[in-house]
Amino acid sequence: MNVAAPSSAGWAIAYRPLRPRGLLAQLVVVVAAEVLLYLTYRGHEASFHWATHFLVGLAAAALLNVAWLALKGAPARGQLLWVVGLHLYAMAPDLLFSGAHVPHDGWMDVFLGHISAHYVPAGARAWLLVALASSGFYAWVLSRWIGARRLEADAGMAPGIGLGGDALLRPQHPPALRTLAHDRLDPGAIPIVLLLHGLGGSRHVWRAVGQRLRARGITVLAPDLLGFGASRSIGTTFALDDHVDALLRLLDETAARTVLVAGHSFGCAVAAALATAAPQRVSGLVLVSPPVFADAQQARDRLSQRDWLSRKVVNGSPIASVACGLMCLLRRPVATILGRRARRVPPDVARDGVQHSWPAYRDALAALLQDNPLPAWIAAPLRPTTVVLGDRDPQTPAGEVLDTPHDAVTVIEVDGDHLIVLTQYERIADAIADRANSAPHNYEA
Amino acid sequence: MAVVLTSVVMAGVAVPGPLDDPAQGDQRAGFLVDRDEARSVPGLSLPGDPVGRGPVVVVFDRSLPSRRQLAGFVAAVPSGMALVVVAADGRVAGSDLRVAVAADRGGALARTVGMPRPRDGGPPVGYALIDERSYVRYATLDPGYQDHAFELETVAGALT
Repeated sequence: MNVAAPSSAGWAIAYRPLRPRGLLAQLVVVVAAEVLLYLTYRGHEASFHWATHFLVGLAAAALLNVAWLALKGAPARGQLLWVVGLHLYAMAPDLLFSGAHVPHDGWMDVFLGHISAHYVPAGARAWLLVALASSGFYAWVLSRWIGARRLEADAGMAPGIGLGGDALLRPQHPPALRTLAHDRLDPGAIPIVLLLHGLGGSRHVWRAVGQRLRARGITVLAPDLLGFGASRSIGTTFALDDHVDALLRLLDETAARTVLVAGHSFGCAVAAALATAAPQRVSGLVLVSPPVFADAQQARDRLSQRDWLSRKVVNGSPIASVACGLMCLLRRPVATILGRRARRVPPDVARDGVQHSWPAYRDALAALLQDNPLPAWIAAPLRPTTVVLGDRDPQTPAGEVLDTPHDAVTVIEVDGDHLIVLTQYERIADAIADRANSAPHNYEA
Repeated sequence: MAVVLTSVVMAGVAVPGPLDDPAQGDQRAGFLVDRDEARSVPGLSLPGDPVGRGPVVVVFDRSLPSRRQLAGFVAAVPSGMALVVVAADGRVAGSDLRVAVAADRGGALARTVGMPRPRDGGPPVGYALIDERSYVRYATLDPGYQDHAFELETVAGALT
């Protein structure tokens, strides 16, 4: 998923919907089509109708381009052609009138207000103002979006194409310069345990476990992963390697030379990737509900069970990015609603369910489908590893996880489903503390 | 871009003429008014008394057009629909149109039918469609009505 960062000057040209040649070709088509349409209307002494429907189509195209940019986090392909497309749509009743002898009727307002559009005060002049305002708004949003992506390229990152919400208009922070948001529960002692949350989660899922570990004299470092929670504005690419790099920087900045890493769900994959990439920094792993699958198909089946959005993402549906983009735009009210309606999870954990970007979510699922390091790790761990499984977990059924060769790992099965990190925090804290204390010589602060 | 767009639209849209409707949207709207919103003209007196017997097209012009000028329009009138041409200047004697003609020097007919008033305030140039129950379902100014026969064909076709 990593995208090589193009140069600042070149990235916009490299990005397909903004290529000047493509835009120019579209402009030629739009001008030619509009001249033809204009001449047709003028032939019927109805240039007033051409102007009204053209301006309505232009305004609608601008607003749809804004909506597309906001929902998809990227400009649409063929954005100029939408003007002609929507103009043709708006004038469809005229085509029916002259081509099929169908007189106008009130229901034809479904064609972008074909009938009512003629009755606004000041007529075509009003539509000219509307079209200018909406086109200007789109131009402003697009220029801010391009500016943000350009700044990201300047900072050495791949442009954040697909990012929604605030990131539409503001550049992401470079992971090299911005530390992951994190909680450090520090009783002033070693060992240090690094707690990694799962997909759509945040460090808050570890609060209960972290407090118990701290009470046992264990220092806890719980970050929000790149693109999630309070680290949402950091980074533009979210492959496992990116997470590993960000975590290693966090360890460097917090002077944690060697840590025990505990992960929940997707956090297990990040933990295994971290331990594989930098085994000298990791003394052991505790994997809670690790997403271990026999093959890609099983991975798809299991990940599809998470929720509606996961099913759409796994199946590659374009609806997924649109739904996620909508959620980004409505993040604040959605988070409030989720927090109030939360039953099975603490309100702040529920609120954090929407505190991530679409690319972060998408790339996390892609990592589990395409380069999941967990099966190999569990089969042949490079560090002492404990696996904690819920006996009623439909996403990572204990039986299926244990079908994977796992002779060198310690397995603990507890009562619960995929959210045992929230419900079985005592048992999980015990497992982490046992693993942390079993080889205290491994840890240095 | 704003300047270009404004210039194109301003230059491209024809300036309304003195015979056009001040409300541009009402001119050649292309749809029939529902009966419950339409004006009823059961006592409208026209040559041959066609109102109430079947659908009627009433053309309003400031003076009678020539037969050649009206040929296309006449051809577009659906069969079974009567056509009356009304001249505002009152000069109807010796017409060669071969359709019913009427004079409307004071504009009483136009007012009864509810023809819109053009920008210059003079008599209307356009046409009205009256259905078989004497409701005026369509009344539009159209200074170029002789060249817009296809519009009459479509709207009148929906009436019959």
